[in-house]
Amino acid sequence: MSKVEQREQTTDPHEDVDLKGTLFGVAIVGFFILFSWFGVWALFLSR
Amino acid sequence: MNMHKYEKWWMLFGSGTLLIFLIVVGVSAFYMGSTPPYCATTLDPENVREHDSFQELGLKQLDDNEYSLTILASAFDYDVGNPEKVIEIPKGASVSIYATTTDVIHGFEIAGTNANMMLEPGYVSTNRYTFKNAGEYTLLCNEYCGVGHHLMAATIKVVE
Repeated sequence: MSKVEQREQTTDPHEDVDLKGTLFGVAIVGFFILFSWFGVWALFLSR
Repeated sequence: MNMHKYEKWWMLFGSGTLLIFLIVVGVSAFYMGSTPPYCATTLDPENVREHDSFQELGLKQLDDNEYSLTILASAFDYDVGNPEKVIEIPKGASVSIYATTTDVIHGFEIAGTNANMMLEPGYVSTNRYTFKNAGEYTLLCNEYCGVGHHLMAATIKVVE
């Protein structure tokens, strides 16, 4: 039976990734959902 | 767990948004008492006109500002109790709407208001609406019900 090799992660490669574009994309979708939700809610309250 | 700074941001943003939505829905449902239309009462769709609730159609005053509005839909007509198909409602009236259909599924929408529901044979659809603004509203069918679908309409006049 082979031993499962466990490697200690010394550095975090995740931190080096540039996620600015992803953050921007997620924010656009998020704010779109937020604004449309409140828009529909305002329409409901006004009627 | 290692997480990128931005990943933390959008997880917080997503969870926060969800929390806000749930609070708004919870407050409006449990504190302000807003409910969607419901159809808890059942009846025989073939003998609707014999049913006690549908003997008197149209608007009926229950209390100072409380009214009930009973409407019977069928292809392709809304029976509101008068041949002119006009209902006059005083402004500010709180109206409980009871409606059903004798044949197929019909829609029930008072255009420009939140009074919007589906009428299913065998069920009494119920909704509550307060007419805050005076004016003329059209009650129309928004579920395609057949060749005369577009002819299904009635007028609701909210008067001062």
